[in-house]
Amino acid sequence: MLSLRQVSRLGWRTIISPRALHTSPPVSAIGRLPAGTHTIPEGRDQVETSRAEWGYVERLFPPKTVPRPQATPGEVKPSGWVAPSASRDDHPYFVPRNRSHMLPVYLEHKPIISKYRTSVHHVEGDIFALLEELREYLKEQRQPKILNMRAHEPHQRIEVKGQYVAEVREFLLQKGF
Amino acid sequence: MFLFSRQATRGRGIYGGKTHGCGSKGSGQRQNFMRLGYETGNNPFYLRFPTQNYYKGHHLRLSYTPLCMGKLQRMIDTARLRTDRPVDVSELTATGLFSVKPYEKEGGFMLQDDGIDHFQATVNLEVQWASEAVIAAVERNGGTITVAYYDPGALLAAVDPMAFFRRGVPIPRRMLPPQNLIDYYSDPKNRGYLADPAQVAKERFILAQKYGYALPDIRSSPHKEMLLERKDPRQIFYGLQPGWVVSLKDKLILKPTDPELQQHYAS
Repeated sequence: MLSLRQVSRLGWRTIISPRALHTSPPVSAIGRLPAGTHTIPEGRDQVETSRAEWGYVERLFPPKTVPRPQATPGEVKPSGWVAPSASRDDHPYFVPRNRSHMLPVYLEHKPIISKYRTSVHHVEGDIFALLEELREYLKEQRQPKILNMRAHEPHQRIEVKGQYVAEVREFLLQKGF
Repeated sequence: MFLFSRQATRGRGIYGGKTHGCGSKGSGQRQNFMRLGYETGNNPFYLRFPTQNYYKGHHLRLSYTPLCMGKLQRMIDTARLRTDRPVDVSELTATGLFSVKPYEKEGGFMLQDDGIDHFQATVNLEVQWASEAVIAAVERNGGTITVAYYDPGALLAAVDPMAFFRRGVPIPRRMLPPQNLIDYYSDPKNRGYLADPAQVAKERFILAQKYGYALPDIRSSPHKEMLLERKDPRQIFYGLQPGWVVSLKDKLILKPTDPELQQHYAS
């Protein structure tokens, strides 16, 4: 059994930053306030230390990085998540997954305004080739009256006016990205 | 003058000059404002109606972070969430995909039945709300599910255990649910954590009959110990009892020895 004083000698600091505390001058009447006292009853400061249950504390540590999925290339998991299978030489372009291992296809939409934009991020290589192939695919799938698309090369992005997330995802999965 | 972005201003009149945002004449420009809700004399909206039962008890009601079964399965598929350990509030928030705010009167996680047809994982789940279909989906795959209440203080600790341990205060006892929730958490049909385990086992069998699946035997499963791991109703973290202080710096757990304290923290 250790007392709190003995534990403090182990180097257990209270949570105060090491920098000097900058305090303002106290109110003049503060010296006249009744002083409070707080005593810890006897026996309360005796503590028992243990490392046996430290495993349970380590269980609570959050992971520092996003874990890598364990899947063979092209494997389809029960939730519908597909592992990437394409390599950089397969096509003139390459669309890697984002840091959460998901396809980088996003729908930008401001509520109230009827303005939707589907965008594909992180496009590497010949972005214009991907743009044309995607244009053909979307025309075939949805036959829209107007299809506005553009490739923003410096930002490595392809933007499509409208809601085409499902079709774009399907296209990228077919390519193995 | 309205600025669309935080463009640099030099405090000159060109950015908001003349009336400087105060309008013209009236109580606004003369800085003698009318009280909030005043409608220049007619009976104001906030006084027209004697009661508004729509918001009655709103301050007592909790909201829950929705988590659909499809997302849960996707998290398991991409190894974001590990199923070799019991999954509770702490595990779910540790993925970094959710933010549970106890200060905003949020109670935790609520499982929704979107995607239960593709749910195939064997998990030991502990959430704050689950519907019957969700319970059936989990139990059909050989898992277990419990609904447990976390009072705001306990939820704050559970959602960010590292921040809680850094405070250096003893782990508190989890409080029992309030009046409007005690029935929900004591009902074996909901797999409440306060329900009788024998009743829960009976309800598992009845649910399997209702939904038409063969109830897997957990006792013969290789993950039996993990699936049957449960917290005490007063416990926040698995394996750590209330009253203990966790020192992250020294990698130590300090336990009280005073019998009065031990009695206080014991269940």
